[in-house]
Formats: sequence, C-alpha cells, structure tokens
Amino acid sequence: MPLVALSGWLLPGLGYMLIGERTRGLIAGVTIIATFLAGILIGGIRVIDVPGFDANGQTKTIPMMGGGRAPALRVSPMAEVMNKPWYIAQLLMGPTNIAATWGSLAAAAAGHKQSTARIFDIGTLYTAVAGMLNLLALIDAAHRTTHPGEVEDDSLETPADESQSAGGEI
Amino acid sequence: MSGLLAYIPLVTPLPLWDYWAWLLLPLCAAVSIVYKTIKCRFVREIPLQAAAITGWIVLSMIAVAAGIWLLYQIMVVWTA
Repeated sequence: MPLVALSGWLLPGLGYMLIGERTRGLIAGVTIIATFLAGILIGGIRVIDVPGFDANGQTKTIPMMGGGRAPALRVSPMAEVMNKPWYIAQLLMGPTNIAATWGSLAAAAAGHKQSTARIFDIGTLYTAVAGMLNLLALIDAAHRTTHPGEVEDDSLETPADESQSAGGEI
Repeated sequence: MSGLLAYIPLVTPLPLWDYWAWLLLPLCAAVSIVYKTIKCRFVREIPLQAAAITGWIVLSMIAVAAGIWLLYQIMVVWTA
C-alpha cells in the first residue's frame, strides 16, 4: 500500500497503474497533470509561491536577537508555510511541483514578476486543486490495494454482468 | 498588443483579465472527471457521469451567484 501511495505521489495516476487499473490511472493522471499545467499556463510559473522566499524570489530573512539575520524558513518554518498554505496542496503533486518550484525561483531570479489579482488566484486555485485531486487519487489507489475484492477488471466485466453476479451471490 | 508580444507560455500569465470567470469551467470539469474516476466502478461510466456532475456544479454556481445578486439588490440597492 505505501508503494502504491508513493507512486501516486511521484506521478499522478501511477498508483492505479501499479494495481492494474491502467485506464483509470491514465484518466486520473492526465486530468490532474493537465489541471496543474493549466494553472501555471494561466497564472505563470510564479503562481508557485514558495515558502521562505519573498515576492522577488529572494530568501526571506528575519533579524535575530543576537544580531545578524537568519533564513525565515529555518527560524520559523511553520509560520512561513502557514503564510502560504496553498503550497501544501501544490506539494501533493510530487516531483512535478518540485520542478515547478525550481522554475518559479528561476523565473523570479530572471526578473519575472508574480501575476496579480484574479489571474494569480485562479492559477493558484488550479495548481492547489490539482494537488488535492492527486491526494484523493492516491488514497483511492492505496485503498484498492487493501480491498482487492472491490477492484474490477473493467476490460472484462460490464455493469450488466456486475448486476448478474451480484444477484447470483444472493 | 504589447502584452501579447511579451507573452512567454508557462512563465508569464495569460492575458485573460476580463475572462477570468470562464476559467472556472475547465476546473469544474477536471474536478468532476477525477471525482468520477475515483467513484465509478466501471471506467466506461466516467464520461457521462463526469459530464452530468460538471453540469450540476455549473448550475449550482449560477444559482448561488443569482441568489447573492438578489440578496445584494434587496439589502443594498432597494433599501438605499
């Protein structure tokens, strides 16, 4: 079960494919990745708003009592993440989001600004919803590994067959 | 026009400032497809059921928007 869940996190839909539900995995995976990419397409790569970095992509630092400054993510990681909670949902996209995070910071370093207002909101919404949908998909795939009786080979059985077999059991 | 010339796909935002509400439709479809992918026992049931639930989500959002508009008219415009 952990392997299926981890696979689903690494690549959306892969968890289903590992348990033999290739079509289901393909539909879920393509839809989730397309949603995530659509968010980036709409709002730009900077919709991946990385905790610990400011709007210009610079490492955010906070002054220390003994003098000097320290990275905010190291001093108060929870506060930093809670400032940008949508990143938790985006992180559920796995390596896809890690690559996008790198891209966002690279774009910031190149001087690309974040989008504003509703376009930023919609882009963030798409990417965060994609992550949440991936969480649902990987939980479902993992659940199906522990409940093999509920897993159907849909290439062989139709809804009509299912109703007949259900009737036969009674 | 200058905004379009400066557009870099996936890096700069799409110039859709006036059409943002339409962007909710593909999101509704995506949520419906993944939800029905999880819920449906048979894969062949997914397209029809996802289309149906997309329609219900959109209709529900329109109904809520109409309700909020009506509430605004009653509370702010008519009583002003």
